[in-house]
Amino acid sequence: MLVMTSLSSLHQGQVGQVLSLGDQETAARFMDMGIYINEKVQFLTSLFGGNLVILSKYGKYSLRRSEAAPILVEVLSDSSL
Amino acid sequence: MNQKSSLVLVGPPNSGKTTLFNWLTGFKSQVVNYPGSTVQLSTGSLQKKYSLNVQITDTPGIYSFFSGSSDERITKQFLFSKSSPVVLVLDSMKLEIQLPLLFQLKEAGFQVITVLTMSDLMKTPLDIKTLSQFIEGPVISMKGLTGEGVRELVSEIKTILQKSGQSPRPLKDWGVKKRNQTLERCRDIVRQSRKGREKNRFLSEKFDRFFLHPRWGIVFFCGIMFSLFSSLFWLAEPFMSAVDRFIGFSIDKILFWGGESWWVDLTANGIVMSLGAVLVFVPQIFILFAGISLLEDTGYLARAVALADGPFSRVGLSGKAFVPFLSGYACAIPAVLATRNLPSKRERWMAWFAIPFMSCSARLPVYTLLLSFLFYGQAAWKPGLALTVIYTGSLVLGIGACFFLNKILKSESRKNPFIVDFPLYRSPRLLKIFQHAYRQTRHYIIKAGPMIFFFALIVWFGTNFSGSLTPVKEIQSSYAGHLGRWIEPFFETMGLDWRVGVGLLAAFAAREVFVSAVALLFSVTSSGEALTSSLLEQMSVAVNSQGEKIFTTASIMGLIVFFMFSLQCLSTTAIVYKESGSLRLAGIQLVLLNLIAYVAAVLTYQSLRFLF
Repeated sequence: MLVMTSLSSLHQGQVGQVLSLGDQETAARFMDMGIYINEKVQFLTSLFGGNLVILSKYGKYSLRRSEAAPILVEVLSDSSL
Repeated sequence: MNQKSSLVLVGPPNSGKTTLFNWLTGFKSQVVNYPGSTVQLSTGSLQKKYSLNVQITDTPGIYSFFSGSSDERITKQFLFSKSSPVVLVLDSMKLEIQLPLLFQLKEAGFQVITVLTMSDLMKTPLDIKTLSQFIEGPVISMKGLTGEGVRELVSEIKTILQKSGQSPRPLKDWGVKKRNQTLERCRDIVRQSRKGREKNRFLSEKFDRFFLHPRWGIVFFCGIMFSLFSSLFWLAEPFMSAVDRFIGFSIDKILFWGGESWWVDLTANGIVMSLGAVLVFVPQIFILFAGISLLEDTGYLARAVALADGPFSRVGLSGKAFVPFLSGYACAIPAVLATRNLPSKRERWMAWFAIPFMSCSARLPVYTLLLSFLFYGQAAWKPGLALTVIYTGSLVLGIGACFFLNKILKSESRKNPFIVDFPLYRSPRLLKIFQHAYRQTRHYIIKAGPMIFFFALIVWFGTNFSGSLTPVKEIQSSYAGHLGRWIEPFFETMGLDWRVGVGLLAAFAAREVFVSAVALLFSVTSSGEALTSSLLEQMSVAVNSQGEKIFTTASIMGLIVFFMFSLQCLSTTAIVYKESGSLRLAGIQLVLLNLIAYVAAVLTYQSLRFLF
């Protein structure tokens, strides 16, 4: 069963496949940095102050929770990337 | 090829452009392990040993042609204004996501040579020949540490400069669909060119378990910052004492061997003492620059940016503002330049206003003198703690200014998402850190030295003469005395006399001039003791015209508050004007901050004078 959620709602260690990156302009910026549609991302941790740390195939990134909210992912597993 | 050709270095942030630029030109530009360290264009000529007359320009990092902060726009504008061939620098470990930039450059019509960096961090090297065939252009692998591959690159540069290229044209945005298609293409290309993954990702993961921990991460952050600022005292102290003793010894010897004449007095008590009063703080400044450089070089600074983003976002800034704020502790000028990396004009305006509050290295001599007086003969941790409070206070003031501006400035409708790309950790290169700290400290001395020398001459002349070329007997009858009498009423409300007032005016040239001016105005002469001790003794017995002590706890606290708020560095005003293009902003900032400083200092003194 496909479980779709926001990237910001993933739990520590969970992996999701990116389904959507929000509006066109925001999506373009995420893609420039290395977060692409259909890529897997792992939720690593939540920092003091609220920002998220995620791991993608192309690197490790920190995002604001509010800005990660429109990124929709399909929850794959609790295993690592 | 006698006519000078030009070439532009382009690439994503932190891909190694500046390292390559240094290898090609022989420059010693600062190279840091933090995205966005190049905030302006640097130009140099290819080293003579390559026998090629080429001008090379290093540009700020760019992720793509379709998005951008102001420094990314600088790169795009420069590229299209020049139409020169491009050397595209890409990180081997992020090739899939950086390769689309190559296709954007090609589609725009640029001639491109691709240089791959960080390949020494890969387990399996890339097949350069295969990659070159796929992208239909020259590819060079380069090692940043040894310069391997640079000669091969120069030979490609020779070839490309002999070809005539078409005139580049701006690109239309690719949109999400074309971006994804290009990514697929790039992934295929890279898949067929390599199989390895980077070596030290595992180690970086281990470190990040501590440094990016939800709770402990901020504790480490505070600990690292506290270690940096406290080391300015315990680590610098022996070196500062040695410089201090040497200056005192030099003044003694000049006075002893030179005898009694005006030029001996000028040399010893004017020039050497003024320069010495500032040189004594050079060890602290060196340690500050080395500490910041260490954070950059290891890759920790990007983590600090992510950690700072949470608190900073509450006052309308992003974590990227942490770098200009931290640089502001060294000097406001590079800090103002570093604001180019901030994503919006609104954020840059806020940072320009807040950066002058950061306790720059020029304030350090002043605070050290005032705290040494306040805690004279007491345990060393007390002034150390007080200085930490002042440094933290300056950050609070800066953040407070942003909080206020965030309320009154119109918010921008469109903001780029805030993303920090963490570089891998690497061992600090101590030689590089030392060289960087040395260059920055030397720059500080070269910048401040002539100014201090010039004002030392003026203050010495002003305190020794009046109307004729015969030195005055009493300082009160000198030019400085006359000026002091005129301005004294303004400073009496701060509990100070005309001499300190003249010192504060002289500090508008450079804050550190205050220390040397006070030394001159209070007629400090060294008698074998250290210079600072003599100055502190003079301050402890100094009285005003009513016979009251000038330097009390209340007046010293007032002075500290004045220096915390005031904008006395005219170079900072000039750079804010240059960056903002607004004389109004620079002017308002200059007047407003000094007015607030004066009022805050008066209030501090008047409220504390009955207690101390």
